[in-house]
Order: sequence, then structure tokens, then C-alpha cells
Amino acid sequence: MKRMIALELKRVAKTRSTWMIAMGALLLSVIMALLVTSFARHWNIDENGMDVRLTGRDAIQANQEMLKPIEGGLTPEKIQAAFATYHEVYEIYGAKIEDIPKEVYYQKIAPINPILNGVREVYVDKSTGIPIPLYEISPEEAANFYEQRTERLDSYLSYEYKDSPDVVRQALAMNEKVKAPFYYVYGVGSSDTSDYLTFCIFLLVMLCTVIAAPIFSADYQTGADDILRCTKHGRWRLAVVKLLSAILLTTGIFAICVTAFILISYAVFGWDSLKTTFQLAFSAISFVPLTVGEANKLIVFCGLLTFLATICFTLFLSTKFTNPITVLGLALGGCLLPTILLLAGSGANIENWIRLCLPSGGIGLKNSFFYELVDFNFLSLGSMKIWTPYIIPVAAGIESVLFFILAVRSYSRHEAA
Amino acid sequence: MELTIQELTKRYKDKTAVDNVSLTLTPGVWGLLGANGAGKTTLMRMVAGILTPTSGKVQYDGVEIKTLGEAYRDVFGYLPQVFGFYPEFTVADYLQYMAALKGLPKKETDTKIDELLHTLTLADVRNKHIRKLSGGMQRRVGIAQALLNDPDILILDEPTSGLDPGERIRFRNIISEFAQQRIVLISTHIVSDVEYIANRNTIMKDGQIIAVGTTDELVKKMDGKVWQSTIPAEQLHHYERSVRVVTVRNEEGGNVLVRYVSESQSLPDSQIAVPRLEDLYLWLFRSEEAVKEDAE
Repeated sequence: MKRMIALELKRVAKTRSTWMIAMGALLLSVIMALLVTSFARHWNIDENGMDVRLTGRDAIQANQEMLKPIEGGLTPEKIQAAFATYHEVYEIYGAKIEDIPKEVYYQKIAPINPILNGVREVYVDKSTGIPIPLYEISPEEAANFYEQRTERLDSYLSYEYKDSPDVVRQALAMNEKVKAPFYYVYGVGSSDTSDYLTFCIFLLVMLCTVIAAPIFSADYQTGADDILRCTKHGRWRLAVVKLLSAILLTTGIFAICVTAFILISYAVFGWDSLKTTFQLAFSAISFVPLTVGEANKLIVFCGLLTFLATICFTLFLSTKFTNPITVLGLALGGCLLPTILLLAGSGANIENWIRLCLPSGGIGLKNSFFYELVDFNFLSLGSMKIWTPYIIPVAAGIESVLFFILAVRSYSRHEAA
Repeated sequence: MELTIQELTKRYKDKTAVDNVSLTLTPGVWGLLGANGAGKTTLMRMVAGILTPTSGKVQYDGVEIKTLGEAYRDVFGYLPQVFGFYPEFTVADYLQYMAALKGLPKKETDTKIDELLHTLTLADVRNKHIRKLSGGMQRRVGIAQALLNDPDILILDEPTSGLDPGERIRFRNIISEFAQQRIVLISTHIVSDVEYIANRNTIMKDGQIIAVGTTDELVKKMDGKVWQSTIPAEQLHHYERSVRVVTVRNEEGGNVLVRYVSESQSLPDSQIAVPRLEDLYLWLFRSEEAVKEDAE
């Protein structure tokens, strides 16, 4: 079996299109990582009162410098101090940014903005759900951030899932595992790295689908399969070999490209920033007990599961059709289907189940594991409520195995017209 | 060793490609002759186990090939009519790949490949991409892969198409030598390819077997039906409408020597000729377009 896998790997790897796609995927991953870092912005004024506008690495370094004072554990005392600073400025210049002199804004407000943003999300009018103006929150009240946050999460979910107390119970149980005080370091969590990581995985799935589509169907089309399936190991064993080789090769490409993306973006934003609490990067009232680094690891893991499910699904299609273009069209259509369902669907429970359970349910332009992780979605299964990020990896894992088995079965039983 | 085809039928929506064919193949070279669409390829694909019959079965030494599965494929070699290969492979890579699929031990593989490349005069192109080879060479690579596992049953569908006359002679010799104690079934339009090497021939028409026998037995059926006559060249066109002409050879003085098949003498001064398998083929397929060797 090992010898057959090595020879099949050699065959697929020798194909020019495989090389071109692999190189293209790597290039794309590097470009996307560089793009994310290039989006960083820093505004300030210099000693002469002139505007300073920095982008890319310079902006990241300047932001790291500027936000150093609030780095580390975001204790109630630190929040209270930040609000005391905010009130100082407010007392003199009011709440409107345009009324605050630039030098004051850059020296006093900009360095505490991550704290203000978190507080803004947590303190809302209980009757309307509208954020309370920051100047109405006293430093002492702001110090009560963590209690207020749990209360806000409870009221938000109780409102969103009026008839499902189980949702609130599940979320609050998970929320208890969220470590407080939060930890903050400017970097990965302050950027679009997670979004672009998700998008990078989506593109890798699409590109590797192109590699997987002809694995069986091209052999049917050229007639090479007639010879192969007349050999001793030409049925289920060959199917397993072809599947494993395609999975190994595409997973190798996935691993190299994702590693390249992560290494570049993390190196530029700083590895320390991975310790930032999930809530300070995405949503202060999120109940996900993770750091930014852990969340990204999960994104990659679920991305890989989705990737495997989609590749296995494509390989299954490849065993069914004699034209690789048909397979490619169907497979790429399948990749886009969750996005189409999300955008064009009514949002019904069954629709969301289908969307998330599709092989490519964990990746897409508007739908992905990452977006589900950031969101507060639960789906009904009878009387049960299931948090959507649980559905994606479970469905993808089952489908990877299922489509692998179905592909072996389909190839073994295939009969040319 | 015996390969038994029992009442084999393959029916498609609007056509019966193979119609209740029964045949017992024993060691030796078997020629399978028939015009295009006669059902030869369909029959071979069913014998190869890559096409499921509508009814009937194929047995190897009394056991159905479906039941034998891997064990049957282990003693089987097949070259389809269309030789599909991997364009990215060199000749050696392809044969290595096929050897692994055929379960050849790694140690034996290199020796076997060297031997076949030498026998089929492919040694010089072993590291060339198959797609860059001529049609004849590609065909020889196809024959090499079929022989890799020294199969007991070798099925070759149009193996000589694309081969030049020298290559065809070499092919016949290889097969004659190889067929000792093995079943070799060769389908072809080119009657001369099997005439001298086939122990027995089977002729198919419209999905059915219409004749089986040794070349001598089959040819005997043409006794008294093969004629030759020398006629003026300008009369050839006239006679071609009434008789089935096998060959025409220019003679001196504006005459042509015509060899034809007919129940009775149809051209003036005709003499009985010694029949050949080609005459029988033309006789049986007189209503169809016969592909002659010359046309290849």
C-alpha cells in the first residue's frame, strides 16, 4: 500500500496543474498575510504639530508603543483609571471627538480606546438595548465591568432566545470559563487576521478542489481506468490509495499555505498578542472562553475538517462523473452553496442546519466557523438547542469519513458506459 | 486452464451489443474477428470484468470471475482498444505504477520492466514521456503493461493498430512465444495478424458468434468459393458491382489479376484459388464495410 501511495503521490505531484495550483496557493497565502498587515493604521501628530499617518509595519509598531500602558490584565482598577482619564477630557472638551484637540485625543483617548470600546458594548440601556453614552458611566461604575458584562450577556440572550432558557443556561455555563480580568496586547486581535485566515482557508479549499476533481474522472475520460481496474489491486485498494494520496497532497498544500499565512501575520503583529482575550478582539459579551491564539487554532482546525470534508466530497463526485469539468463545476458550486443559502435564504432553522452541515459549511464568504464563533447562534434539534460552532466540526468530521467510504464504494462499483 | 463464456448478453437501451454468446477458451492464441460494431470490444470488456453482463456469466476454471475477484485479476492482462495512460508519466514511471497495481514485488519489478522494454524495443525511450511517443510506441507500452504480471489470460483489443509492418511481425512473434500454456484473446480487423499465430479463431457479427474453429477449419469452408481471374483493367469497375473482390493486382498488358469470393465462377476464365482466412472474413461480412490490411 505504501509503495502504491508513493507512486500515486509522485504521479499527482508531477502533474503540471498541481504544481501551478500549489505555487499559486502559496503565493496567495503570502499576499493575504501581507495584505492584513498592510491594513494597519496609526494616526498621530509629531512634535511640530503635523499630522502623522502610518501604515503597515510602522503603524503596528507605533500602535504597540501607544497601547503599551494598557497591556496585560485588564483589572477593574485599570478600567476605572481609563474612565477617570476619559472624564477628565470630557469635562473640558465634551463627548464629540471633533471638539477634542488632536494632541489631547492621541495622548489621552487613543491609548485607552480598546477599554472604551469594550465598555461601550457592555453598558446599554436595559429598556432599549442602546449603548449608554460613555460620559454617563462613572469610573466607579466602569470598574464594575465584569459583573455588568455577565448581566448584559444574560439579558441579550434572554431577549434573543425568549422561549429557550436552555440557551441562556448553556451560554452562561460557558461564560463562567471565561477568564477575568481580560488580557490585552495590541496585535493579531486588533487586526483582520482571523477574517483573512478564514478567507485564505476558503480559497485553499477552492484551489485544492481543482486538484481533487480529476483524480478519478480524468481516468474514466481517458480510458486509463479500464486498464487500472483490471489489475490485482485495481478496485477498492486503488480507490483508497488515490483518495489517501489526494488527501495527503492537498492537506500538505493546506498546511504549508496556512503556516505561511500564520507565520507572516503573527511575526508582524507579535506573538504576544495571541494571549489577548477573545472578548477584547471580537465582542466583549461573547461567552467563548478563548484567547485570540486559541480561537485562531480552532479556526484552522475546523477549517482543516471542512477542507477534508470538501475534498472527500469532491473525490466522491469524481468517482461518479466521467467529465472532470462537471465534477469541478459541482464541487465549486458546493463550496459556494452555504454562502448562497446564507445570503438568499430566509434564515429558517432547517436552512441553517443544511448550510452548516454541508461539506463546505465551515468556510465561505459570509459564513464560516469563525463567524459562528463570534456570533450567538443556536439551532433547534427537537427540544434541544445546539450552539452552531459545535455543528460545523462534527458534521465535517462525519462527512469526511462518509464521503471517503462512499468514494471507495462508488469507484469499486464504477462501470464505464 | 479454461475460460468459459456462458450465454453472455449485453443489452443497452436500444441495442444488443452481445447476444447470447457462449465460448470456451483454452490455452493458445484466439483470434476474435469482426467488423466495427460486431460486439468484440463489449465481449472483451465483460471478460475483463469491467462491464457487467445483462445476463450470462464468465467462469475461470469453473468459478465465476466476479467471485474470484482479485485472484482473477492477478492472472489477467488487458490492453483496451483505447490505451489511456497518464500523460505526466515516463514509460518507466508508468510501468512501475502498473507493476505496483499488479502486485509485483518491488525486487522483481525492475528486472521485469527491463526485460519487457528490451523485448518490445522500448529501452531507448524508457525515460521519455508517453505522450511524446509515436502511436505505435504508445501501443507497445500498452502491450508491455499487459504483460507485466505474466498473465495466464491475456486480452488484447486491437493491439496492432498503429504498429508498422515490422512492429506487427515482432508483436506476432512475442505473442506466439508468450501464449504457451496461456489463453490469449486478440481482437482485430487485420486478419493477417491472427491468421498465422491464432490456434483458433472466433468470428463475431451483430453481437453473435457466427463461426469458431482453427484457421484451417474455417478456411475449409471457403473451398470452391475463392477465385482468381485476369481481366482487362477497364472491366474491373463493372465486375466489382457483382462480385466481392478480395485483392486486385496489376498485370502486364493493361490487365489485372482479380481475387474474388463467390459461390460460382463470376468472371471469365476464373480459376479456383487456395482460400485464406481473409477470404472467409470478406465472405461473412460481404454486406459490411470490411477494413482491409491495406487500409491500415
